[in-house]
Amino acid sequence: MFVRGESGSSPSRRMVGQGVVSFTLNEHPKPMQSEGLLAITPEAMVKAILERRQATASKLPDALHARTEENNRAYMLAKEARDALKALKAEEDGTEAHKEALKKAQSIYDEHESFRRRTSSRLQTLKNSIKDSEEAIEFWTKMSDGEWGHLLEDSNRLASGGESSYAKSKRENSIEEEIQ
Amino acid sequence: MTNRAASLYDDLVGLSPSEVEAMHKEALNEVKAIDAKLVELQIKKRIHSETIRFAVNKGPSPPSLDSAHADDMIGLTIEQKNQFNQCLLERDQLVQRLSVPRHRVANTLSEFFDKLTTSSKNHESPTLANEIEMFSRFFELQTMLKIYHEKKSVVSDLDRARRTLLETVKAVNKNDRRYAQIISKTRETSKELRKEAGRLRAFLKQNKIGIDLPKAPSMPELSERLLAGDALSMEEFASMLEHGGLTELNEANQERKPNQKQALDKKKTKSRRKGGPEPSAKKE
Repeated sequence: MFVRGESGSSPSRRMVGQGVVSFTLNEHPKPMQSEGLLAITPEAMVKAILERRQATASKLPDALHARTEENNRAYMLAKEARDALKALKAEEDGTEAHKEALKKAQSIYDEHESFRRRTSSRLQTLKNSIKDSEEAIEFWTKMSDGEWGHLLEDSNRLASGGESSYAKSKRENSIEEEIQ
Repeated sequence: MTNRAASLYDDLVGLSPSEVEAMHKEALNEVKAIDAKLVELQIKKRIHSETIRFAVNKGPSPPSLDSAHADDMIGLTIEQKNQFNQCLLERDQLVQRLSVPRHRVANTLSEFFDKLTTSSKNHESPTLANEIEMFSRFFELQTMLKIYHEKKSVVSDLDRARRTLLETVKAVNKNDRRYAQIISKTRETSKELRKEAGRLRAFLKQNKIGIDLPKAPSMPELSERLLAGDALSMEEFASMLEHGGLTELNEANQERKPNQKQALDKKKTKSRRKGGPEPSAKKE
């Protein structure tokens, strides 16, 4: 039996739709998902956030170590390249070979310096993340003792028949527009 | 002309004057009865039209119904329209209170849950400030979704009320068209009867029987509409002022369209030749 291959201008029918994601369809949550989300309590949510935070925090020291090493290496490379460039610049040689070496050294220095800056930035981001993580764990640990009341103000107002924060801000914006 | 006149009164020639007079009176009574029926029909039609306008938001208020013209269908339509308005109001209040559509609430709720509880390469880990904001929003959206579940009937009730009202309005519209047809047919009958009364009157006058014979009341469309409580346009009023009939509706002799007016002029000329009443007398 002759089976048509996938080569040629006409794509195989079996390939149709593969890798195509319908965002419209995927955006709609399944009913079970909605039902599950309705059952989530603040306690469970605080616990879940803490768990995620702690899981992330446990990976941070290793990441910090790796980033620090990377940054140190980048610093060393950049320093070496800078010293080499300085040494070449200090030489008073007008030959073509010297000029070529100078150009090459400059290029290496630029590359290493750029790498150093990137690693430095990444290290700083990680340090900020660690700081944020520590604060977050502290905050959510405090919340797990039941101090989330102020975070549920909008929800409570809505449940007691009031308007949502979205409706409130919409109304306030329209008032502001009217005044202007 | 003589032949035509003879053939026009052929059936009356052998009858006694009192018999013709009785026929004339009977014709007049029938005309009056039909005119009264026409006014009644016009009132009913107006009520139907106003009800439809009210039901489809083209009219601000429902028609005022007296006991004589109360109709079950009209009453039902007004009741259903009020019910629909109530459902609409409830839906609008809910939408205004929540301000976020149901599907977006469900989507955002799911999205916030994922961001808060799972580490993924698809999204950056939120900062503490973002987490606090999302935590608060999550439970607000959760309450919104619960409200949407509780108020599920608001939307379904509105849909049901809309469908029911539409069905009833269709039935009222059908009746409205039926009334228009009946009015048109009744008007034709009225026209025929008027013609007959006129013919009998002309015969009696020609034979000098009875000096003050009553004329059939003129009840063309504009008079009927005025009696039924309908509004007339400025042109229609001008026409009535010109041709009479605004103050004495029974003696109205107005026509709206120019071609109808021409036809009337021709008729007048004919009746003058036959010794009919003077046009000036009609205008008075």
